[in-house]
Amino acid sequence: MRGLIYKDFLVNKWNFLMCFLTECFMSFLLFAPYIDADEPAIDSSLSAMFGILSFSSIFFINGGFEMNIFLSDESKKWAYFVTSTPMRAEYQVQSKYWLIAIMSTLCMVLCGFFDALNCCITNDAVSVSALILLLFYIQIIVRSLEIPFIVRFGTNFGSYFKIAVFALVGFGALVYLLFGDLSHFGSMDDFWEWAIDFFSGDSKTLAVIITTLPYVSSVMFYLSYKISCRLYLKGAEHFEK
Amino acid sequence: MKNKGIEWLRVIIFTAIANAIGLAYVYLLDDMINKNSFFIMFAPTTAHILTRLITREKFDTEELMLHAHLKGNIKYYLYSIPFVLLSNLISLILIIAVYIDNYKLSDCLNSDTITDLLIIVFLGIGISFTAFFICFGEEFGWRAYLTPKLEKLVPEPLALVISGIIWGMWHAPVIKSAGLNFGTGYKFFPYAGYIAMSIFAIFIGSFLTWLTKKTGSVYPASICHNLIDSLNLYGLLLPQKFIEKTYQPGQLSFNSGVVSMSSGAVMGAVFFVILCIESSKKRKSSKI
Repeated sequence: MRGLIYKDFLVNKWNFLMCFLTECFMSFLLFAPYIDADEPAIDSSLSAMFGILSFSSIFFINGGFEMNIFLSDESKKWAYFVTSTPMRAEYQVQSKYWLIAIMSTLCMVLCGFFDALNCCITNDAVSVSALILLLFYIQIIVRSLEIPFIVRFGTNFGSYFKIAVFALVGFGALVYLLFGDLSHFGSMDDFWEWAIDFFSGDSKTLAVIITTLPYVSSVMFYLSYKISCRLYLKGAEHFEK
Repeated sequence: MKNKGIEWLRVIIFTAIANAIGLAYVYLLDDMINKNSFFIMFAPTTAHILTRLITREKFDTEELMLHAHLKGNIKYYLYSIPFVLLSNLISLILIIAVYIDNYKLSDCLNSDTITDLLIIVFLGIGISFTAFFICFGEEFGWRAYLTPKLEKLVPEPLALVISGIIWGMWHAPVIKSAGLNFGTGYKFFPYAGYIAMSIFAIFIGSFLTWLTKKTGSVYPASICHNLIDSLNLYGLLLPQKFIEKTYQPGQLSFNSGVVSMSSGAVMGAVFFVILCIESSKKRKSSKI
């Protein structure tokens, strides 16, 4: 098992390096308000706004890189070989799940690091650690839904599935924005005010969500692993030689 | 044991680096500790890595205790839940017994309804398991480096006491500047706080060491430490919240802190005895 994770790590080392560098680069978005040296003082809402944008994009990027780790093993030869070993298909699938969990955790640590660094730079900065936790759980839930499709139909179909889901959600959001009741959103400033209060304050709704998500995401991740194990060999038939 | 001198030197360098980072963090970045404690939690990890690099010690995978060793050890990962919940419950009962005449029950609880209380408990447990890395920063230093090093140099009970004192005293800057766990302005402030924290650290540290030894992994201790911290911050009764609600700088904050932490210390003392017995058995069998 450790061997499979190590193998994946070696095969995907450039993928991981690129992922890390891109995330570090995106993290600097957090510090954009400090660029203007003449006006070093920034208000807390601006800092929180940049925090929300920066961490959301980091998790989004991390998700893309996570799915790349499936590409390297998409060959019939490997799939049948690994299934014939004592490790069986379960360990092959499990190693991918472990790697994704490790990558998501490291992404959370990286975001936590930059969030803390932001707080150290200025006393006005607002910590958005609740948002980081929330994004981590959402990331795990999205992966839980996505991986079985990738295992069954391959990375290409999996990415089509993801695009389809995002397009559907996007279309729904667009329809709502065009025809729905937007009065309770107010202006753009009101929206940001709400988002900042929600993610950096003591919102009870956020507390309930963050309380529920660890359990929901853990159960979904486990179920997703079980489903993927069953689908692995069927999916291997679609792989190229 | 060969090279006792170099092992002592490693312990001293580790302790010095961990404390220097803690002191620098608290005194250079005022008010940071109340805002974001991410960096200070990683001071022992930084000290661990730097000590190995400075003293040219190998990064041995087994010694680092980074393998999760999940197979057959899941129960040790879960033991932290009953341990922390039970100690919080006993603390609650103690607080009620000692202070309820003067204060309302709601003053001791950090929640107004039973739903809030459940949210706090489940939130604490959920976060402890998924965001374990926060306390991993501390445990990778105390449990994966300092305690095993001391165990090689001195008998096990003494090793637990010394590592507990070092761990407790590492909190000294925060006890003094932010009144961690015991508030401020009490008799013999802050020295009484240092002593109380060290005693607590010795016994709670024994439980965390027990978890680490049983699994050969640093993660169960990280999860347990995270649970202790998160339930103390958000939780059930919680000395910190109790102090905030009934805050008067003085003896009350110290007393309530000691009362509420004593249950965890007593439960940890059981594991201190277990570890002492196990180590004496091991010594006897090695003599035979």
